[in-house]
Amino acid sequence: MDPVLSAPAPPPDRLLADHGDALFRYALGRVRDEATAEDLVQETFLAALGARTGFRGESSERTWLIGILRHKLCDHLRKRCLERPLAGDLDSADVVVDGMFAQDGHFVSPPGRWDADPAELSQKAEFWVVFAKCRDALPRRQAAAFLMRQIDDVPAEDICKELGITPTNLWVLLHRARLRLRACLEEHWFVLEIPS
Amino acid sequence: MSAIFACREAVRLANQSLDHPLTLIQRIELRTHLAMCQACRVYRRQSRALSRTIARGAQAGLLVPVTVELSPAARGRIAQALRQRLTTGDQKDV
Repeated sequence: MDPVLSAPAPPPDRLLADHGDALFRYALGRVRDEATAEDLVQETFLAALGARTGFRGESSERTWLIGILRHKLCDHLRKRCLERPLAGDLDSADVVVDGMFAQDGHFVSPPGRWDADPAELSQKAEFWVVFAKCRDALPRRQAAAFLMRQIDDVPAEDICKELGITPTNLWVLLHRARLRLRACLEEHWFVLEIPS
Repeated sequence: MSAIFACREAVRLANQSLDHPLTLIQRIELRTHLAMCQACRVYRRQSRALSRTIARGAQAGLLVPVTVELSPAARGRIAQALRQRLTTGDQKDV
C-alpha cells in the first residue's frame, strides 16, 4: 500500500474550521466581491477533498490549501478576462492614462507631494480599504495582471500564458495599472484621507 | 531629443523597471530624463515605494483585516457542499 494513501484523511469539517477564514481573506484580497471569494473557498475545499491525501504533515496543510486556492484564483481571473476580450483594455488606448499626459508628453498635473510615507502604510488597515477600492476600479485585465505580478509574484511568462497575452501586452497592462493605482491612491489617500 | 523623450516615456520606463530589467539604452534615457525632471523623480520615488508597500502588505497578509471571517451562512453552505461530496464520493468507492 502507498503510505500516503493509507494516511488518515483530514476531516473536512476540521479543515474548514482551521483554514476557512484564512482562505476567505486570501481570496477576498484578490477578487472584487465576497460571493466570489466564498465560491473560491468552497471550490478549494472540494478540490482538497478530491486530493485529500495530497499533502503530508500538519505544518504544510495551510500551504497546500493556499496552493489549491491560487490555482482556482488563476482560473477565475483568466475566465473574467476571457469574458470580455481586449476591448477598451489592451488594444485601444487607455483614456484615463492618456489623460494624465499632455500632447507634448508632459504631465498634465505633476505628481503631488505626499504627506504619508508609503513605506509605513502597510501597517494601516484603512490604507488597504482604499487600496482595494482603487484595485477594483482597474479594468479587469489590468487588475488581473497586476494582482498576479505584484501581489502573488507570479512569473511573467506564467501570467502571459494564463491571460493569453504577449510580454509586451503584459508590460503595457502593468504600466497602466500602476499609473491608475497611483493616481487613485493619491486622490483618495495621500491628498484626501478617507475616514474609515 | 527631449521633445520626443517626455514624461510619458520616462514614466513608462520607470514603471517597466519595476517589472523587468531595462536595457542599457533605456536606463541611460531614463536617467537623463530624471536628471532634468523633478516631476518624474517624484513619480518614480512614489511608484517604487508604493510597489514595495503593496508587495510587503500582500506577503504579510494585510490586504484584508484579520477580523474578516466567513459569514455563518457561507460557512454552512461550504460545510454542506463538502458533506454532499463526501457522501457521493463514498458511494462511488463502494
